[in-house]
Amino acid sequence: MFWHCLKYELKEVFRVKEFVLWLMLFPIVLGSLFKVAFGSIYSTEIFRSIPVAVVKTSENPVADNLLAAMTDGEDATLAATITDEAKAKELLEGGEAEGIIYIGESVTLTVARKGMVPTVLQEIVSRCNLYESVIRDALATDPASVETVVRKLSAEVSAYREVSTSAENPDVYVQYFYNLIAMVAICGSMTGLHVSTSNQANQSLLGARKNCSAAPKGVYLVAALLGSCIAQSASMILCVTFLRFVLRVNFGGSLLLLYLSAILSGFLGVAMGFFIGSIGKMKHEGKSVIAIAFSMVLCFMSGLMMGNIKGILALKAPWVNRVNPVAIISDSFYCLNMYSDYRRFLTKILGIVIYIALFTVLGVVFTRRRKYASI
Amino acid sequence: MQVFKAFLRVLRSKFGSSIFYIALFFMVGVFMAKTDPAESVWEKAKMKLVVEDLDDTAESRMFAEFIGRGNTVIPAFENEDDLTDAMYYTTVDYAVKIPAGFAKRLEAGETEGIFECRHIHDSYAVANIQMLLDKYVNTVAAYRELGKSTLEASQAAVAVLEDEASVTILEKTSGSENKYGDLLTFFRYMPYILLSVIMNTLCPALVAMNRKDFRFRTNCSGIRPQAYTMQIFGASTLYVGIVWGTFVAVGSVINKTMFTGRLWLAVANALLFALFSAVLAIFISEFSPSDTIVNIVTQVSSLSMCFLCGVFIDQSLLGSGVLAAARFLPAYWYIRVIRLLTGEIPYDAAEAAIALGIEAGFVAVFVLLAILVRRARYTSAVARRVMA
Amino acid sequence: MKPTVVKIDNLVKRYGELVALDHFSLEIKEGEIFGLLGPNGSGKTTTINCLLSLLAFDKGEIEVFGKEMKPTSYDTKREIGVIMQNVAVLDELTVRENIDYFCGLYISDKAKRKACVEDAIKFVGLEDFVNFRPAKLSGGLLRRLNIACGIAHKPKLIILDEPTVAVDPQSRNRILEGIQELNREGATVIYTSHYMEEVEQICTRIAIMDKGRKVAEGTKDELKGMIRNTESVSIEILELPEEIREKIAHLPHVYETEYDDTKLTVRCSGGRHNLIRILAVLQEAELGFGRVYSELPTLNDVFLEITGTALRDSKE
Repeated sequence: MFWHCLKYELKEVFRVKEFVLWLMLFPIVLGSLFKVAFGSIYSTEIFRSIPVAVVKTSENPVADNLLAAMTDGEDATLAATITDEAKAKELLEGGEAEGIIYIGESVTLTVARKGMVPTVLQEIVSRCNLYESVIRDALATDPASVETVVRKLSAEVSAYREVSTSAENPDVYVQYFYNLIAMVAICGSMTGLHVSTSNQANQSLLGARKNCSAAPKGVYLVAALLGSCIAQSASMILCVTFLRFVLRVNFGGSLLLLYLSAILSGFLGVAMGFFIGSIGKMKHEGKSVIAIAFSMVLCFMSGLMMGNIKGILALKAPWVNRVNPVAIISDSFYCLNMYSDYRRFLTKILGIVIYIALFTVLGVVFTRRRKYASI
Repeated sequence: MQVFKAFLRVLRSKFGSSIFYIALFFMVGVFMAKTDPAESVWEKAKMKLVVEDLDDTAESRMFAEFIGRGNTVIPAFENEDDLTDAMYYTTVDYAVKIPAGFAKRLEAGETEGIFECRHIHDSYAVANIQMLLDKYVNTVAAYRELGKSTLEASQAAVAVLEDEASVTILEKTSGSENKYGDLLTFFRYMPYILLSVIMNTLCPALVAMNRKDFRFRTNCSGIRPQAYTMQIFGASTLYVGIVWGTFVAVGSVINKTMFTGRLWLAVANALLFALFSAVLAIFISEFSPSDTIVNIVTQVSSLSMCFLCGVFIDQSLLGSGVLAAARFLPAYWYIRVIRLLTGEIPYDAAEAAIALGIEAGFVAVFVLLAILVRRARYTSAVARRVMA
Repeated sequence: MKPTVVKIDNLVKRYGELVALDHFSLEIKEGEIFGLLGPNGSGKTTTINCLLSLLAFDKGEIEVFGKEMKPTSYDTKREIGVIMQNVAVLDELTVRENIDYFCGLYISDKAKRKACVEDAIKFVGLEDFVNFRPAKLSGGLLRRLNIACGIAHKPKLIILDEPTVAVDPQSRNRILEGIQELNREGATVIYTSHYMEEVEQICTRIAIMDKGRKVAEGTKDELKGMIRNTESVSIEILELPEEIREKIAHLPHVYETEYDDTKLTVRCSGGRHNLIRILAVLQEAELGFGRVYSELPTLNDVFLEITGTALRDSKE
């Protein structure tokens, strides 16, 4: 009887067009969209030589030396084009240069906008002032030491020692894909919702019919839950496979654990839906709209729409990330990528398992009722 | 007015799920009411730093104070993982640890590996701070050559390092002054909420009113079809007006900004987008989808439009290919108006008018499409009946 | 004496202030087609839901096949087939899959189930639609599918809750014939309806319900025997002076007359040749009249006489 119920649960679920659309096609569409939108943003945020236009109005050996040092080598800080003012402005306006460095008696900078890149340019240009000030101080204190001072000032040093992090793919935009997988998982609430509404006599006619049958409630309920979990797993595997192998998103970390975590997260979605479906007497349509809206709110809080929200919440209200199931799911993928040891990943997985258990137990408590006060 | 009243009641019954979106939006609105206004006066970009001073000497404190000045210093985290998370999510750009013995090493003239640092993204901010660290150590070393004590050398270094080169912003690109940063941020995210709330409510309500049995019954009654359509139209307009008005008013209250001058353009912009959301809802309702399908269509259209057109991600970050495609979506033009108002692109009244005009064009196109679909569907239904 | 299949004793079900079932008792014997007749809202479906252990009730006892009926009485449930008032099938499964699914909730053996499913399909005449999804079926066919899902496992007790609501006459006849056939094959049937003709046509015993109470019970003849009315004579007549109506009202065996300007209805209790006597009065007064017909009492008359309202006039 169990297998009979399971077979038909699966047949039914895969034929529901909403399921196919919502949990199979929607992630593919949204994933492709993310790939188009964020695919190359990260690379533009990584430091590369900054293109600048240089306009020389008079000789300034300090500035010249500095410019030479900054533009020297393959990993030079600046990519300078020495030109006249008109051309320089043209380059700046056209976005081909980030700034114009005017080298005269003093060195000044003109930029097109505010931001981090112009700030870096300001830092570089300020070095000329720094050299001048230090040399001036040296001349005033001990003119003989000027040469040593300049040598000290322009010495190639590495004042910092970098402690490495184990991030396999530091691309912050990958988190949109983490959240996309988490969204598919939490939208498993739709299938879970169906389990509780279609098995309760006071929620649907089908529920009433099943309650009248010779099949024990526990049997068809567990079969329905298992069927939903299998269907949900299929959509999770499809989603991860599509993102990883078709869109070639680099998630970092173990692929096997990524699949495992995604499948487990799908169970969480199903359990949440099962729980939502089990409370109250509202009909399926109403509950499904609530489940989707609630899932979307959780997704928002996890950064599906605004990537930086999770970081902001971590500073201002860290408990939100700790309790938001979608955040926990997306964090589990993040931990796989960021940490070489599995301690934090396992914590997140534990969180997912606790939620699955909690929602399932609560769902069972509410649906275990066998007689209803009204139908 | 029976149809009008009935339709409003149906709308009210379908409104439930929108409350989630609205509550969230207002919450985020309050939360986010803080942005950097783009002004024409130069201002350094702030870096988000964690500075941990384990040396706790006059020299280390001086350095910590120097590096924190003009930047955002975030308190040290209790564990390394939280710091890693914060750096990944870019709430921290760089973490600098001043190890014990820092002052002594400076005194000994050491320059290598003085600081212990962590970062994740090789961003411009990171490059900037790394240059600054090198420069600081070099400058202190240079002043030590002049016979100054480490503390004196540090003081002198801080003094000269704070003397920064002057920067001007090119006049043509400096844009308009933005006095309404917070409110415009609120407006920036409005397309998502307008699409969600209007489509999720209006669409199922229209489907309910368009249901065959209901329509036939109404057709059999004494009410003229024109009057019926006008009452539905009136109720829809009232609903869209209330939604739009509420968001505009709440935006004004949350951000404590009154609408003046060019800000009215943002209000008009939002109205056009609300209308677009409504006609899109009408268009989709012509296909009589189920509530779940409406939900999916709403999510797909709102999320894709918001991601592609720069609602969630700044347009300046999106690739040219994406933006070229986004031009065929109204949200792109909506955001363009916002960008004109914030000064991200220099304000030009003609450009704003064009963008608003294109949005109005989208509204008109979808009205026509809705009419076409309605005609095609009803005519074919009549034809089927005749054939049967 | 045939064994008792269903025994309901003093059943009380309240919804807040409203008493849906008021000390309702019933006993149904094996092989009966038992009709539960009553207007909408009289408590028929509530009785069925309590009987099936879907609804919790406030007081009373229910036994099916001699055992107390509980939500976990799976062995008992295996012998029961339920056909709900509203169609309850899965939209995503085909006709055959739907029948197989519901049958599978009762019968685990595949081969046996397959035979049962085929029989059910044949029984309801859905052979040409086995691969159709429910959405593609007409209202009548959908009802037949609903029935097939309920009876495929060949239950000993079949409960049909208003199975012919909104069904065309052809499908209705087929359903009614089918119920009688199932009964001939040995099933006990509980049939609820507010269509008295159907109940009269197929039920061997009938209970009439009103406002949660059983107002009468018996075979149709026993029920009709409970009331005074033995014959109703109707005459279409456009002009009827009051003295003539009085004269008719005083004829032997006549206990009630009713005149609505076009039709005179005379209700008689016992006696023979009532019609001839009435017509003789009219001829004597030289009054012209149109169609004349005489009817035996119906269950509506029974209900009318017992409750004071007609079955069909009862408010939902």
